[in-house]
Amino acid sequence: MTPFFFGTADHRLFGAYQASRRQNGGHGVVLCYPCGQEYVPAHKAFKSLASLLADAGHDVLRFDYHGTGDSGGDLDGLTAPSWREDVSMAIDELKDTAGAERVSLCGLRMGAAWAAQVAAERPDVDRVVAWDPVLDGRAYLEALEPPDGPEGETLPGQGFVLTPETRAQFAGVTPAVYARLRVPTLVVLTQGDTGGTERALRSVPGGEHGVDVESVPGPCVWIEGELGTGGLPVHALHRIADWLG
Amino acid sequence: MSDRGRDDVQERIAHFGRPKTLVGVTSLPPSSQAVREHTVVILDVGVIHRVGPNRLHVQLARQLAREGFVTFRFDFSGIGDSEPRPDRVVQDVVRQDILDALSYLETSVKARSFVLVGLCSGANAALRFARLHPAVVGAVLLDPYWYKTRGFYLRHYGRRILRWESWRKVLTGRGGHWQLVREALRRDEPPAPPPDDSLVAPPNVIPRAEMEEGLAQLTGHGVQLLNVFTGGHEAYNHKEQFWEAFPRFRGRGEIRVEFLATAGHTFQRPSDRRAVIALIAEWLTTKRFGRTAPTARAAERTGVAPAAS
Repeated sequence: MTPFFFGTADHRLFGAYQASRRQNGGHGVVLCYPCGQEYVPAHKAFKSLASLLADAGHDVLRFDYHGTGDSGGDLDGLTAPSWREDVSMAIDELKDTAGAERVSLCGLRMGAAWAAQVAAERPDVDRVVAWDPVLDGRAYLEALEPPDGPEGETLPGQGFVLTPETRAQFAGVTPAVYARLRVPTLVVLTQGDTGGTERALRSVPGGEHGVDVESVPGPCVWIEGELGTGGLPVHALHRIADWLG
Repeated sequence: MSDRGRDDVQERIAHFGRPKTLVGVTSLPPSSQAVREHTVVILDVGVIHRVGPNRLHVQLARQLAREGFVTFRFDFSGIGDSEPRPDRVVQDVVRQDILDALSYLETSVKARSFVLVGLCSGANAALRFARLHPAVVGAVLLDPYWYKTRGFYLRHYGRRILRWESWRKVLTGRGGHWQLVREALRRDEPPAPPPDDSLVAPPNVIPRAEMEEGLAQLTGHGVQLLNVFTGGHEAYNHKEQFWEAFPRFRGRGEIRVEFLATAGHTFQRPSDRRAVIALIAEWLTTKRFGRTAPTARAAERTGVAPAAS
Protein backbone atom coordinates (compact mmCIF):
# COMPACT_ATOMS: atom_id res chain seq x y z
CA MET A 1 0.00 0.00 0.00
CA THR A 2 1.40 3.36 -1.01
CA PRO A 3 -0.07 6.47 0.63
CA PHE A 4 0.36 9.68 -1.34
CA PHE A 5 -1.12 13.08 -2.09
CA PHE A 6 -2.50 13.92 -5.50
CA GLY A 7 -4.45 16.72 -7.08
CA THR A 8 -3.30 20.33 -7.05
CA ALA A 9 -1.73 22.55 -4.41
CA ASP A 10 -5.12 24.14 -3.80
CA HIS A 11 -7.02 20.88 -3.92
CA ARG A 12 -4.83 18.25 -2.32
CA LEU A 13 -6.31 14.78 -1.93
CA PHE A 14 -4.96 11.90 0.14
CA GLY A 15 -4.88 8.55 -1.60
CA ALA A 16 -3.80 5.04 -0.71
CA TYR A 17 -2.78 3.06 -3.76
CA GLN A 18 -2.75 -0.70 -3.67
CA ALA A 19 -1.07 -2.25 -6.69
CA SER A 20 -2.46 -5.42 -8.16
CA ARG A 21 -0.69 -8.50 -6.90
CA ARG A 22 -1.11 -10.30 -10.20
CA GLN A 23 -1.67 -9.61 -13.89
CA ASN A 24 -4.97 -7.86 -14.30
CA GLY A 25 -5.32 -6.68 -17.84
CA GLY A 26 -5.33 -3.04 -16.82
CA HIS A 27 -8.35 -2.92 -14.55
CA GLY A 28 -8.58 -0.52 -11.66
CA VAL A 29 -11.07 0.07 -8.86
CA VAL A 30 -11.68 3.39 -7.10
CA LEU A 31 -13.20 3.08 -3.63
CA CYS A 32 -15.51 5.90 -2.54
CA TYR A 33 -15.86 6.38 1.21
CA PRO A 34 -19.10 7.34 2.89
CA CYS A 35 -19.21 10.83 4.38
CA GLY A 36 -19.67 12.37 7.80
CA GLN A 37 -19.60 10.15 10.82
CA GLU A 38 -19.70 7.05 8.63
CA TYR A 39 -16.18 7.64 7.28
CA VAL A 40 -14.11 6.67 10.31
CA PRO A 41 -15.79 3.35 11.10
CA ALA A 42 -15.64 2.36 7.42
CA HIS A 43 -11.89 2.92 7.11
CA LYS A 44 -10.82 -0.54 8.23
CA ALA A 45 -13.23 -2.33 5.89
CA PHE A 46 -12.06 -0.19 2.96
CA LYS A 47 -8.46 -1.08 3.67
CA SER A 48 -9.37 -4.77 3.75
CA LEU A 49 -11.43 -4.50 0.57
CA ALA A 50 -8.52 -2.79 -1.21
CA SER A 51 -6.22 -5.61 -0.21
CA LEU A 52 -8.72 -8.24 -1.33
CA LEU A 53 -9.19 -6.55 -4.70
CA ALA A 54 -5.42 -6.29 -5.17
CA ASP A 55 -5.17 -10.02 -4.51
CA ALA A 56 -7.84 -10.54 -7.17
CA GLY A 57 -5.79 -8.63 -9.74
CA HIS A 58 -7.06 -5.04 -9.51
CA ASP A 59 -5.13 -1.83 -9.01
CA VAL A 60 -6.99 -0.02 -6.26
CA LEU A 61 -7.17 3.57 -5.11
CA ARG A 62 -9.05 4.66 -2.02
CA PHE A 63 -8.98 8.33 -1.29
CA ASP A 64 -10.32 11.02 1.05
CA TYR A 65 -12.65 13.64 -0.39
CA HIS A 66 -11.40 17.21 -0.11
CA GLY A 67 -12.13 18.47 3.38
CA THR A 68 -12.23 14.96 4.85
CA GLY A 69 -9.63 12.60 6.29
CA ASP A 70 -6.07 13.58 5.44
CA SER A 71 -7.01 15.54 2.33
CA GLY A 72 -6.61 19.29 2.24
CA GLY A 73 -9.27 21.78 3.17
CA ASP A 74 -12.11 21.53 5.60
CA LEU A 75 -15.75 20.77 5.17
CA ASP A 76 -17.18 24.26 5.47
CA GLY A 77 -19.39 24.91 2.52
CA LEU A 78 -18.34 21.92 0.48
CA THR A 79 -20.91 20.58 -1.89
CA ALA A 80 -21.77 17.35 -3.57
CA PRO A 81 -20.34 18.49 -6.94
CA SER A 82 -16.97 18.93 -5.21
CA TRP A 83 -17.01 15.34 -4.04
CA ARG A 84 -18.08 14.07 -7.44
CA GLU A 85 -15.19 16.00 -8.95
CA ASP A 86 -12.93 14.28 -6.43
CA VAL A 87 -14.15 10.87 -7.61
CA SER A 88 -13.32 11.90 -11.17
CA MET A 89 -9.88 13.10 -10.10
CA ALA A 90 -9.28 9.75 -8.40
CA ILE A 91 -10.26 7.88 -11.57
CA ASP A 92 -7.81 9.96 -13.61
CA GLU A 93 -5.10 9.46 -10.99
CA LEU A 94 -5.55 5.70 -10.95
CA LYS A 95 -5.51 5.49 -14.75
CA ASP A 96 -2.34 7.56 -14.78
CA THR A 97 -0.59 5.78 -11.91
CA ALA A 98 -1.47 2.21 -12.76
CA GLY A 99 -1.99 2.52 -16.48
CA ALA A 100 -5.49 1.17 -15.96
CA GLU A 101 -7.61 1.28 -19.09
CA ARG A 102 -10.86 0.37 -17.39
CA VAL A 103 -12.00 1.54 -13.98
CA SER A 104 -14.82 0.37 -11.76
CA LEU A 105 -16.23 2.29 -8.82
CA CYS A 106 -17.27 0.93 -5.45
CA GLY A 107 -18.96 3.29 -3.02
CA LEU A 108 -20.46 2.89 0.42
CA ARG A 109 -23.59 4.77 1.54
CA MET A 110 -23.41 8.33 0.14
CA GLY A 111 -20.16 7.33 -1.55
CA ALA A 112 -22.25 4.96 -3.66
CA ALA A 113 -24.40 7.87 -4.81
CA TRP A 114 -21.36 9.92 -5.82
CA ALA A 115 -19.90 6.88 -7.61
CA ALA A 116 -23.14 6.26 -9.50
CA GLN A 117 -23.47 9.89 -10.52
CA VAL A 118 -19.90 9.99 -11.81
CA ALA A 119 -20.38 6.68 -13.64
CA ALA A 120 -23.37 8.20 -15.42
CA GLU A 121 -21.19 11.03 -16.70
CA ARG A 122 -18.00 9.19 -17.69
CA PRO A 123 -17.73 6.64 -20.47
CA ASP A 124 -14.63 5.03 -19.01
CA VAL A 125 -16.34 3.59 -15.94
CA ASP A 126 -16.76 -0.12 -16.36
CA ARG A 127 -18.91 -1.23 -13.43
CA VAL A 128 -20.39 0.12 -10.23
CA VAL A 129 -20.80 -1.47 -6.82
CA ALA A 130 -23.23 0.34 -4.52
CA TRP A 131 -22.64 -0.97 -1.01
CA ASP A 132 -25.48 -0.23 1.41
CA PRO A 133 -26.26 2.78 -0.78
CA VAL A 134 -28.25 5.80 0.28
CA LEU A 135 -31.46 5.48 -1.71
CA ASP A 136 -33.41 8.24 -0.03
CA GLY A 137 -31.41 11.40 0.57
CA ARG A 138 -34.17 13.02 2.62
CA ALA A 139 -34.32 10.12 5.06
CA TYR A 140 -30.53 10.18 5.24
CA LEU A 141 -30.59 13.85 6.20
CA GLU A 142 -33.21 13.30 8.87
CA ALA A 143 -31.11 10.56 10.44
CA LEU A 144 -28.10 12.88 10.56
CA GLU A 145 -29.68 15.45 12.83
CA PRO A 146 -27.93 15.33 16.20
CA PRO A 147 -30.23 14.48 19.10
CA ASP A 148 -29.60 17.80 20.83
CA GLY A 149 -30.24 19.82 17.71
CA PRO A 150 -27.90 21.15 15.09
CA GLU A 151 -25.25 23.69 15.91
CA GLY A 152 -24.62 25.93 12.94
CA GLU A 153 -26.14 23.35 10.65
CA THR A 154 -23.42 20.83 11.32
CA LEU A 155 -23.31 17.23 10.34
CA PRO A 156 -22.36 14.91 13.18
CA GLY A 157 -19.07 13.16 12.78
CA GLN A 158 -16.79 15.00 10.47
CA GLY A 159 -18.27 18.30 11.57
CA PHE A 160 -19.04 19.69 8.21
CA VAL A 161 -21.37 22.58 7.78
CA LEU A 162 -24.43 21.33 6.02
CA THR A 163 -25.32 24.36 3.97
CA PRO A 164 -28.80 24.64 2.48
CA GLU A 165 -27.25 23.98 -0.93
CA THR A 166 -25.55 20.79 0.23
CA ARG A 167 -28.68 19.72 2.06
CA ALA A 168 -30.65 20.09 -1.17
CA GLN A 169 -28.08 18.02 -3.07
CA PHE A 170 -28.20 15.26 -0.47
CA ALA A 171 -31.97 15.33 -0.58
CA GLY A 172 -31.82 14.85 -4.34
CA VAL A 173 -30.38 11.35 -4.02
CA THR A 174 -33.08 8.90 -5.04
CA PRO A 175 -33.20 5.36 -6.48
CA ALA A 176 -32.99 6.93 -9.93
CA VAL A 177 -29.30 7.66 -9.32
CA TYR A 178 -28.65 3.92 -9.52
CA ALA A 179 -31.53 2.66 -11.66
CA ARG A 180 -30.59 4.75 -14.68
CA LEU A 181 -26.99 3.59 -14.83
CA ARG A 182 -26.08 2.04 -18.16
CA VAL A 183 -23.18 -0.02 -16.80
CA PRO A 184 -23.45 -3.27 -14.85
CA THR A 185 -24.30 -2.37 -11.27
CA LEU A 186 -24.38 -4.44 -8.11
CA VAL A 187 -26.18 -3.27 -5.00
CA VAL A 188 -24.86 -5.06 -1.91
CA LEU A 189 -26.98 -4.90 1.21
CA THR A 190 -25.49 -6.01 4.51
CA GLN A 191 -28.80 -5.26 6.15
CA GLY A 192 -32.19 -4.05 5.11
CA ASP A 193 -34.90 -5.04 2.73
CA THR A 194 -33.68 -6.53 -0.53
CA GLY A 195 -37.19 -6.70 -1.95
CA GLY A 196 -37.92 -3.10 -1.04
CA THR A 197 -34.71 -1.95 -2.67
CA GLU A 198 -35.49 -3.88 -5.84
CA ARG A 199 -39.00 -2.43 -5.97
CA ALA A 200 -37.63 1.08 -5.43
CA LEU A 201 -35.15 0.65 -8.28
CA ARG A 202 -37.71 -0.91 -10.65
CA SER A 203 -40.20 1.86 -10.00
CA VAL A 204 -37.89 4.44 -11.54
CA PRO A 205 -39.32 5.57 -14.89
CA GLY A 206 -36.81 5.01 -17.64
CA GLY A 207 -34.64 2.85 -15.44
CA GLU A 208 -32.36 0.34 -17.11
CA HIS A 209 -33.45 -2.35 -14.64
CA GLY A 210 -29.97 -3.80 -14.98
CA VAL A 211 -29.12 -3.48 -11.35
CA ASP A 212 -28.48 -6.64 -9.36
CA VAL A 213 -29.50 -6.45 -5.72
CA GLU A 214 -27.97 -8.95 -3.34
CA SER A 215 -28.31 -9.41 0.39
CA VAL A 216 -25.02 -10.34 2.03
CA PRO A 217 -25.69 -10.09 5.77
CA GLY A 218 -22.85 -8.81 7.90
CA PRO A 219 -21.73 -6.00 10.18
CA CYS A 220 -22.63 -2.46 9.17
CA VAL A 221 -19.15 -1.03 8.90
CA TRP A 222 -20.43 2.50 8.60
CA ILE A 223 -22.11 2.59 11.99
CA GLU A 224 -19.99 4.22 14.69
CA GLY A 225 -21.32 1.96 17.40
CA GLU A 226 -19.78 -1.03 15.66
CA LEU A 227 -16.37 0.62 15.50
CA GLY A 228 -13.81 -1.88 16.65
CA THR A 229 -16.40 -4.39 17.77
CA GLY A 230 -18.42 -5.27 14.73
CA GLY A 231 -15.77 -7.11 12.80
CA LEU A 232 -15.52 -7.07 9.05
CA PRO A 233 -18.32 -7.97 6.63
CA VAL A 234 -16.17 -10.72 5.20
CA HIS A 235 -18.84 -12.21 2.95
CA ALA A 236 -19.78 -8.82 1.49
CA LEU A 237 -16.13 -7.97 0.79
CA HIS A 238 -15.59 -11.29 -0.98
CA ARG A 239 -18.82 -10.91 -2.96
CA ILE A 240 -17.73 -7.47 -4.16
CA ALA A 241 -14.33 -8.81 -5.18
CA ASP A 242 -15.88 -11.81 -6.96
CA TRP A 243 -18.39 -9.66 -8.84
CA LEU A 244 -15.71 -7.23 -10.01
CA GLY A 245 -13.90 -10.26 -11.44
CA MET B 1 -9.17 28.55 11.58
CA SER B 2 -10.75 27.40 8.38
CA ASP B 3 -8.20 26.20 5.90
CA ARG B 4 -10.59 25.97 3.01
CA GLY B 5 -9.01 27.23 -0.15
CA ARG B 6 -5.65 27.88 1.47
CA ASP B 7 -3.60 24.77 1.88
CA ASP B 8 -0.77 26.88 3.29
CA VAL B 9 0.38 24.04 5.52
CA GLN B 10 2.60 21.62 3.65
CA GLU B 11 2.07 18.02 4.56
CA ARG B 12 4.29 15.05 3.91
CA ILE B 13 3.36 11.41 4.18
CA ALA B 14 5.68 9.28 6.25
CA HIS B 15 6.23 5.58 5.79
CA PHE B 16 8.48 4.67 8.66
CA GLY B 17 9.45 2.10 11.27
CA ARG B 18 11.68 -0.92 11.06
CA PRO B 19 10.48 -2.30 8.69
CA LYS B 20 8.40 0.52 7.25
CA THR B 21 5.00 -0.61 8.39
CA LEU B 22 3.84 2.63 10.02
CA VAL B 23 2.09 5.52 8.27
CA GLY B 24 1.90 9.12 9.41
CA VAL B 25 1.57 12.66 8.15
CA THR B 26 3.91 15.54 8.99
CA SER B 27 2.37 19.02 8.97
CA LEU B 28 5.01 21.67 8.32
CA PRO B 29 4.75 25.37 9.14
CA PRO B 30 4.26 27.71 6.18
CA SER B 31 7.52 29.02 4.76
CA SER B 32 6.74 32.46 6.17
CA GLN B 33 6.50 31.08 9.70
CA ALA B 34 9.53 30.53 11.92
CA VAL B 35 9.77 26.92 13.05
CA ARG B 36 9.45 26.45 16.79
CA GLU B 37 11.76 24.31 18.87
CA HIS B 38 9.47 21.50 19.94
CA THR B 39 7.75 18.97 17.70
CA VAL B 40 4.19 17.94 18.47
CA VAL B 41 3.18 14.29 18.12
CA ILE B 42 -0.51 13.36 18.14
CA LEU B 43 -1.40 9.82 19.20
CA ASP B 44 -4.29 7.67 18.01
CA VAL B 45 -7.48 7.35 20.03
CA GLY B 46 -8.43 3.71 20.44
CA VAL B 47 -9.16 2.20 17.05
CA ILE B 48 -9.81 5.56 15.34
CA HIS B 49 -7.05 6.25 12.86
CA ARG B 50 -4.85 9.30 12.75
CA VAL B 51 -7.46 11.80 11.54
CA GLY B 52 -8.99 11.60 15.01
CA PRO B 53 -12.60 11.76 16.07
CA ASN B 54 -14.45 14.39 14.08
CA ARG B 55 -11.16 15.10 12.28
CA LEU B 56 -9.83 16.78 15.40
CA HIS B 57 -6.25 15.65 14.86
CA VAL B 58 -6.10 16.99 11.31
CA GLN B 59 -7.43 20.38 12.31
CA LEU B 60 -5.16 20.51 15.35
CA ALA B 61 -2.07 19.50 13.36
CA ARG B 62 -2.66 22.13 10.70
CA GLN B 63 -3.40 24.91 13.16
CA LEU B 64 -0.30 24.11 15.22
CA ALA B 65 1.75 24.06 12.02
CA ARG B 66 0.46 27.55 11.28
CA GLU B 67 1.66 28.51 14.73
CA GLY B 68 5.13 27.25 13.84
CA PHE B 69 5.10 23.73 15.26
CA VAL B 70 6.08 20.77 13.14
CA THR B 71 3.23 18.40 13.99
CA PHE B 72 3.03 14.69 13.34
CA ARG B 73 0.04 12.37 13.43
CA PHE B 74 0.41 8.67 12.80
CA ASP B 75 -1.28 5.32 13.19
CA PHE B 76 -0.24 2.76 15.75
CA SER B 77 0.54 -0.72 14.41
CA GLY B 78 -2.59 -2.41 13.11
CA ILE B 79 -4.63 0.80 13.20
CA GLY B 80 -5.63 2.85 10.15
CA ASP B 81 -3.07 2.55 7.38
CA SER B 82 -0.30 1.09 9.54
CA GLU B 83 0.31 -2.61 9.23
CA PRO B 84 0.56 -4.90 12.23
CA ARG B 85 4.11 -5.37 13.40
CA PRO B 86 5.67 -8.40 11.76
CA ASP B 87 7.65 -8.98 14.95
CA ARG B 88 4.60 -9.86 17.03
CA VAL B 89 6.78 -10.81 19.95
CA VAL B 90 7.35 -7.11 20.65
CA GLN B 91 5.67 -6.71 24.00
CA ASP B 92 5.23 -2.98 24.14
CA VAL B 93 3.92 -2.28 20.66
CA VAL B 94 2.68 1.23 21.39
CA ARG B 95 5.94 2.19 23.08
CA GLN B 96 7.91 0.87 20.10
CA ASP B 97 5.60 2.68 17.67
CA ILE B 98 6.07 6.01 19.47
CA LEU B 99 9.82 5.42 19.66
CA ASP B 100 9.86 4.77 15.92
CA ALA B 101 7.85 7.96 15.31
CA LEU B 102 10.25 10.05 17.38
CA SER B 103 13.26 8.47 15.69
CA TYR B 104 11.74 9.24 12.30
CA LEU B 105 11.17 12.86 13.28
CA GLU B 106 14.69 13.19 14.68
CA THR B 107 15.97 12.18 11.27
CA SER B 108 13.44 13.79 8.94
CA VAL B 109 12.93 17.19 10.58
CA LYS B 110 15.83 17.24 13.05
CA ALA B 111 13.42 17.16 15.97
CA ARG B 112 15.09 17.23 19.37
CA SER B 113 12.24 17.61 21.83
CA PHE B 114 8.61 16.61 21.76
CA VAL B 115 5.19 17.41 23.12
CA LEU B 116 2.76 14.49 23.02
CA VAL B 117 -0.97 15.01 22.52
CA GLY B 118 -3.56 12.34 23.18
CA LEU B 119 -7.27 11.97 23.77
CA CYS B 120 -8.73 9.30 26.06
CA SER B 121 -6.60 6.16 25.67
CA GLY B 122 -4.19 8.29 23.64
CA ALA B 123 -3.82 10.59 26.64
CA ASN B 124 -3.10 7.62 28.86
CA ALA B 125 -0.48 6.41 26.40
CA ALA B 126 1.03 9.92 26.25
CA LEU B 127 1.34 10.08 30.01
CA ARG B 128 2.89 6.67 30.25
CA PHE B 129 5.35 7.28 27.43
CA ALA B 130 6.29 10.77 28.63
CA ARG B 131 7.67 9.16 31.77
CA LEU B 132 9.94 6.95 29.72
CA HIS B 133 11.46 9.23 27.12
CA PRO B 134 13.87 12.01 28.06
CA ALA B 135 13.11 14.13 25.00
CA VAL B 136 9.43 14.56 25.88
CA VAL B 137 9.10 18.02 27.42
CA GLY B 138 5.34 18.28 27.59
CA ALA B 139 2.05 16.48 27.13
CA VAL B 140 -1.50 17.48 26.39
CA LEU B 141 -3.87 15.03 28.03
CA LEU B 142 -7.41 15.31 26.71
CA ASP B 143 -9.88 13.42 28.88
CA PRO B 144 -7.33 11.04 30.39
CA TYR B 145 -8.52 8.29 32.71
CA TRP B 146 -9.62 9.89 35.97
CA TYR B 147 -10.84 9.12 39.45
CA LYS B 148 -14.23 9.74 41.03
CA THR B 149 -13.81 11.77 44.20
CA ARG B 150 -16.32 12.46 46.99
CA GLY B 151 -16.78 15.83 45.34
CA PHE B 152 -17.69 14.08 42.09
CA TYR B 153 -20.40 12.04 43.80
CA LEU B 154 -21.76 15.06 45.69
CA ARG B 155 -22.05 17.09 42.50
CA HIS B 156 -23.39 14.16 40.53
CA TYR B 157 -26.15 13.32 43.00
CA GLY B 158 -26.67 16.88 44.18
CA ARG B 159 -27.96 17.78 40.74
CA ARG B 160 -30.39 14.90 40.81
CA ILE B 161 -31.64 15.20 44.34
CA LEU B 162 -34.36 17.68 43.48
CA ARG B 163 -35.71 15.66 40.60
CA TRP B 164 -38.84 13.62 41.29
CA GLU B 165 -37.76 10.95 38.81
CA SER B 166 -34.56 10.39 40.77
CA TRP B 167 -36.50 9.99 44.04
CA ARG B 168 -38.93 7.61 42.41
CA LYS B 169 -36.06 5.38 41.30
CA VAL B 170 -34.45 5.54 44.74
CA LEU B 171 -37.69 4.70 46.55
CA THR B 172 -38.46 1.84 44.23
CA GLY B 173 -34.92 0.53 44.52
CA ARG B 174 -34.25 0.84 40.81
CA GLY B 175 -31.12 2.37 39.35
CA GLY B 176 -28.66 0.94 41.86
CA HIS B 177 -28.45 4.18 43.82
CA TRP B 178 -28.02 2.58 47.23
CA GLN B 179 -25.02 0.62 46.06
CA LEU B 180 -23.46 3.76 44.59
CA VAL B 181 -24.12 5.72 47.78
CA ARG B 182 -22.48 3.01 49.85
CA GLU B 183 -19.55 3.04 47.44
CA ALA B 184 -19.23 6.81 47.65
CA LEU B 185 -19.28 6.78 51.44
CA ARG B 186 -16.87 3.93 51.72
CA ARG B 187 -13.99 5.34 49.69
CA ASP B 188 -12.99 7.93 47.18
CA GLU B 189 -12.13 5.57 44.38
CA PRO B 190 -13.09 2.22 42.99
CA PRO B 191 -10.32 -0.32 43.52
CA ALA B 192 -7.45 0.17 41.12
CA PRO B 193 -6.61 -2.60 38.72
CA PRO B 194 -3.23 -4.20 39.18
CA PRO B 195 -0.33 -1.99 38.10
CA ASP B 196 0.70 -2.43 34.51
CA ASP B 197 3.32 -0.22 32.99
CA SER B 198 3.39 -1.89 29.60
CA LEU B 199 2.18 -0.32 26.40
CA VAL B 200 0.94 -3.29 24.48
CA ALA B 201 -2.07 -1.20 23.49
CA PRO B 202 -3.12 2.32 24.40
CA PRO B 203 -4.22 1.83 28.01
CA ASN B 204 -7.83 2.44 28.91
CA VAL B 205 -7.07 2.63 32.62
CA ILE B 206 -4.24 4.24 34.54
CA PRO B 207 -4.17 3.00 38.14
CA ARG B 208 -4.36 5.84 40.64
CA ALA B 209 -0.98 5.05 42.16
CA GLU B 210 0.64 5.10 38.75
CA MET B 211 -0.98 8.43 37.90
CA GLU B 212 0.27 9.99 41.12
CA GLU B 213 3.75 8.59 40.62
CA GLY B 214 3.74 9.77 37.02
CA LEU B 215 2.65 13.30 37.89
CA ALA B 216 5.31 13.48 40.57
CA GLN B 217 8.02 12.21 38.26
CA LEU B 218 7.09 14.40 35.31
CA THR B 219 6.62 17.61 37.27
CA GLY B 220 9.82 16.80 39.13
CA HIS B 221 11.63 16.81 35.81
CA GLY B 222 9.95 20.02 34.68
CA VAL B 223 7.71 18.36 32.09
CA GLN B 224 4.71 20.58 31.35
CA LEU B 225 1.25 19.02 31.43
CA LEU B 226 -1.95 20.47 30.03
CA ASN B 227 -4.91 18.46 31.31
CA VAL B 228 -8.17 19.15 29.52
CA PHE B 229 -11.37 17.50 30.68
CA THR B 230 -14.71 17.69 28.91
CA GLY B 231 -18.26 17.49 30.12
CA GLY B 232 -18.39 14.20 28.26
CA HIS B 233 -15.90 12.53 30.63
CA GLU B 234 -17.81 9.88 32.57
CA ALA B 235 -15.79 10.35 35.75
CA TYR B 236 -15.07 14.10 35.81
CA ASN B 237 -17.56 16.88 36.45
CA HIS B 238 -15.73 19.91 37.84
CA LYS B 239 -12.50 21.78 37.16
CA GLU B 240 -11.40 21.27 40.77
CA GLN B 241 -11.70 17.51 40.55
CA PHE B 242 -8.10 17.19 39.38
CA TRP B 243 -6.94 18.81 42.61
CA GLU B 244 -9.49 16.89 44.67
CA ALA B 245 -7.90 13.68 43.48
CA PHE B 246 -4.32 14.87 43.90
CA PRO B 247 -4.20 17.86 46.26
CA ARG B 248 -0.43 17.56 46.69
CA PHE B 249 0.08 18.92 43.18
CA ARG B 250 -2.02 22.03 43.64
CA GLY B 251 0.09 25.04 42.85
CA ARG B 252 2.60 23.17 40.71
CA GLY B 253 3.36 25.44 37.81
CA GLU B 254 3.97 22.50 35.49
CA ILE B 255 0.32 21.42 35.66
CA ARG B 256 -2.52 23.31 34.07
CA VAL B 257 -6.08 22.02 34.25
CA GLU B 258 -9.00 23.12 32.12
CA PHE B 259 -12.57 21.88 32.18
CA LEU B 260 -14.62 22.39 29.02
CA ALA B 261 -17.99 21.67 30.57
CA THR B 262 -20.07 21.94 27.43
CA ALA B 263 -17.74 19.98 25.15
CA GLY B 264 -18.37 16.34 24.30
CA HIS B 265 -15.73 13.66 24.69
CA THR B 266 -15.08 13.52 20.94
CA PHE B 267 -15.45 17.28 20.33
CA GLN B 268 -18.27 16.74 17.91
CA ARG B 269 -19.30 20.38 17.67
CA PRO B 270 -17.04 22.56 15.53
CA SER B 271 -17.10 25.27 18.21
CA ASP B 272 -15.74 22.79 20.77
CA ARG B 273 -12.95 21.80 18.42
CA ARG B 274 -12.07 25.41 17.80
CA ALA B 275 -12.00 26.02 21.55
CA VAL B 276 -9.74 23.12 22.42
CA ILE B 277 -7.40 23.76 19.50
CA ALA B 278 -7.08 27.42 20.52
CA LEU B 279 -6.42 26.36 24.10
CA ILE B 280 -3.66 23.94 23.09
CA ALA B 281 -2.09 26.49 20.75
CA GLU B 282 -2.13 29.16 23.45
CA TRP B 283 -0.55 26.80 25.98
CA LEU B 284 2.13 25.64 23.55
CA THR B 285 3.06 29.14 22.50
CA THR B 286 3.21 30.64 25.99
CA LYS B 287 4.74 27.87 28.09
CA ARG B 288 8.45 27.54 28.63
CA PHE B 289 9.43 23.96 28.09
CA GLY B 290 12.45 22.16 29.43
CA ARG B 291 13.31 18.91 31.11
CA THR B 292 15.94 17.94 33.55
CA ALA B 293 18.06 14.88 32.98
CA PRO B 294 16.14 11.61 32.92
CA THR B 295 16.63 8.97 35.49
CA ALA B 296 18.90 6.11 34.67
CA ARG B 297 15.86 3.88 35.02
CA ALA B 298 13.95 5.76 32.35
CA ALA B 299 16.89 5.62 29.98
CA GLU B 300 17.28 1.96 30.67
CA ARG B 301 13.60 1.23 30.04
CA THR B 302 13.42 3.11 26.76
CA GLY B 303 16.77 2.09 25.44
CA VAL B 304 17.26 5.75 24.54
CA ALA B 305 20.35 7.57 25.67
CA PRO B 306 19.59 10.50 27.98
CA ALA B 307 19.27 13.75 26.06
CA ALA B 308 20.99 16.91 27.09
CA SER B 309 18.60 18.93 29.19
